[in-house]
Amino acid sequence: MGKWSKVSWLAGTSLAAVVALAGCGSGGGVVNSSNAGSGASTGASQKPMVMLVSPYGSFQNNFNPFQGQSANPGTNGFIYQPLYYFNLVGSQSYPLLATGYAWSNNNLTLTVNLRQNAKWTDGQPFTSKDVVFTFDLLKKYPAADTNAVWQQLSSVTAQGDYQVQFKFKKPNVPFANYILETDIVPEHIWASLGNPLKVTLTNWVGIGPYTLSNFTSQGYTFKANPNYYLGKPPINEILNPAYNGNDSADLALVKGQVDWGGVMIPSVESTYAKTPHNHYWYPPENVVMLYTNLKDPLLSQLPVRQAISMGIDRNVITTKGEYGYTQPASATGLIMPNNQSWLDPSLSSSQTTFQYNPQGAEKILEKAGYKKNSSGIFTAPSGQPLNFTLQVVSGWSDWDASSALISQQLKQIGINVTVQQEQYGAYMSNLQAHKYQLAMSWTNPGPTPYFLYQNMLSSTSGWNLEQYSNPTTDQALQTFASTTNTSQQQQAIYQLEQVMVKQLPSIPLFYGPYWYEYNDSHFTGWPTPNNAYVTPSPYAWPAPAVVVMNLKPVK
Amino acid sequence: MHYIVNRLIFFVLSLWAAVTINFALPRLMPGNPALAMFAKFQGQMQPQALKALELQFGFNNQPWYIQYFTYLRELVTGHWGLSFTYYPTPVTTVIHNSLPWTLGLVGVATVLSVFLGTALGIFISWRRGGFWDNILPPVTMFFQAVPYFWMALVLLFVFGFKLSWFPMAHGYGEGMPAGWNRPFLSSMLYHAVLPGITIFLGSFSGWMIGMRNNMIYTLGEDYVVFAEAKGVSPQRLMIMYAARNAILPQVTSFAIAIGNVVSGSILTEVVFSYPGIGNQLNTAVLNEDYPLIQAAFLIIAIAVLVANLVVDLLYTRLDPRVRTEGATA
Repeated sequence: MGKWSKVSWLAGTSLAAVVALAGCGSGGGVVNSSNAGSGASTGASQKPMVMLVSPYGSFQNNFNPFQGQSANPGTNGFIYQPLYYFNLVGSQSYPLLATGYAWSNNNLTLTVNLRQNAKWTDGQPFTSKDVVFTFDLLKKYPAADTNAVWQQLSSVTAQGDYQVQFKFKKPNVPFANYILETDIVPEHIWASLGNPLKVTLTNWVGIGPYTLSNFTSQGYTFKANPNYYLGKPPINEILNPAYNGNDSADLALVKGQVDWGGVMIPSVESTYAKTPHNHYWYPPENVVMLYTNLKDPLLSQLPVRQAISMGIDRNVITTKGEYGYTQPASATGLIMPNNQSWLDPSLSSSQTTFQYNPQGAEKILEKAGYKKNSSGIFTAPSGQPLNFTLQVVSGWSDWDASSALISQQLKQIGINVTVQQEQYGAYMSNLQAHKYQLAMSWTNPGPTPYFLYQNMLSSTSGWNLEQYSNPTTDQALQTFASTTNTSQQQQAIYQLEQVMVKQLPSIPLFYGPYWYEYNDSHFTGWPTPNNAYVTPSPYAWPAPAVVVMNLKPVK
Repeated sequence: MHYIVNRLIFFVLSLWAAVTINFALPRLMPGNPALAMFAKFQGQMQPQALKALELQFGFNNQPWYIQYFTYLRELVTGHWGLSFTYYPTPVTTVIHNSLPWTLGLVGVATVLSVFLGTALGIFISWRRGGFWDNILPPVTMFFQAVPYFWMALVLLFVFGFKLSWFPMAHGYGEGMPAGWNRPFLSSMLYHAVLPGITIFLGSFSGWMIGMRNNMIYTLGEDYVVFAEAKGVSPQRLMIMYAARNAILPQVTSFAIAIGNVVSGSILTEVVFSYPGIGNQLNTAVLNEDYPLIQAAFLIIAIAVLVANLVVDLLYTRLDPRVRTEGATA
């Protein structure tokens, strides 16, 4: 009996306590959340900018530039900086810690001049020692060398305090990109820290426009660095909250709680953009391909690939599967309009654009000796029916929808495609091991079309998923890589465009967009289609460091 | 005594089984963490990064039994490894940062739901067929039948988005320094309201109806009728005679529910971007973050097992029949 009364007493008091607490919470909280921003800001009454980079569950205090993509947003760009940045939606390049670079010695030596007025946030000057130290770290710890720079380089040496020479094993002009976009760390701090991948610090001494001022696992705040070498950034504070899923991220954007977003919003026109000052721009980032495994006896036949390509109605896919946010891809593999200047003028517009032509597709197969069987599926002269599986990541909803549409469209011309949705670990492992027939996947673009072609078509590349191998193509890539002469480079790219148009090593579908939303009621100067000065997405690091220097708070 | 030793042996055996399954499951998943991380960034990482990632995460191709014993040793010595998702943060830090949020949110919501549910269950069974007995069970059952993540989305949309009464995400206000001060605590409670209601509504009905049905059964027992005939006051009859006996099954379920608190409420946390362990577990599974998955599952398994052990031991106090199982038969 005594026991029972004790239990009920406990229940009673805990209930009362919780109710009392909850009561004061709903009263005080409203005032509180509006105070949070202004209370923390540094003197000026300017509103902090809120970035929603992409959904992150929560943050750990990891601003380690060697962690690349798994470090928190802002590591590469706001805190640490590379030597250069190359715009991916236009042709501009931005000297950051460097002021210029030049090739010499038959394009085996890259000489980079460094900025002389840059200082680390602890007051130490930035010199060539820091650059050489950073590259030596990558050599000593190959696990940190995510761009595999030491497969190309033979040495990195300082020439005085403000010049560095990179010596290459063989000429590779486009590779300068990876060298110049490597984040540099301060030698005086990192020299004693050992393996750079395992470094965790509480005070990250950087060199960029912002320093970390407050960190919690659900968000953190950047404060402007008054001594930034390009001048004090115009925005005093930047908040970076964590949103776990697209649902909560989309709602926060629509509600106007975010100034700069990088997530996909369904029906953006009617939800987000209908509010004044909300804008979006989804420029093309890469080419999404229907990869065809060329080791498959049927897919290795050009007529089969041509028929598949002609049997896909890309306009339906982009409007229904991709929410109308993107355009059908160019048959050349170029990203339009970003790569407009590289387009081979000898190609006619009927060669560079795909035409949906189901009758034509069937004719091509019939001409190659394929016949429809009793269930309406084409069968090869060898007797094999055209039955394929298409692998795609489950949960990437636009790609899942597009794959389903492709399967329906190809069924109509007598090709049977079964969509297999996989969890992304399994998907990647199948693609890497070439255990697939058809797969929807991305390409790896760069500031010139070379990067996409090299990754997709070079017989030695890590992203040659379809296993294309052609000595002439390798030769064209080699020509591009060993010269700085733009007209020779242009000719090489033309050759690669011809390969894409005539040999169809894999099937370009549509452009994968950059996600980019912004609100110009508090800040102006954003990248727009007419002023595409830099890659606009808040996740395209270190591009945001260029964007923030161009923004202006509204008075 | 014999009974307690029995329970303890069972506890150790099930703990070992949990730990072993925990070792095997992530290794049966296709792919590896480097591939998963690479795919997650959907082309923002260069293909050459894959090799560096695999070096970094240090895959060893040691035979599984060596890996198993290394795993057991490190488990006992507290070296739970570095999370792949938040590399190089130790998983213990990740869990340390997220577990208190879940314990607070899900714990308080569960306790509230149990006590309110049980109290109301007693009340409506006493007035069987009355107004509340007709209204409450179907209404609360409706809320429990609705999938709880959908409930979370509806609450988020109506009270967070449309009406702006409550924040739409997070455990506390943006850019607020964490600390034991009034503004922070009230912001925390304010943020906990919607996810708390979601969890509360998701389980409340079960507790209430469970208690009601137990009570109705107990109220029909001879000793209750006898007590009533003897002139025991209705108040005393309801609490001391009927409820005290009817509550036993509730205690079992309560202990198990407390054990489950640790695993959090994954979808609720995901919908509200709540910084709890359910959220971390979701991220960890998507990224094939073995060390974090293992640590999270281990803590969940231990919590559930300990809760069960406590119930078993508590039962010997609450219900004498358990203590004397062999003797009376």
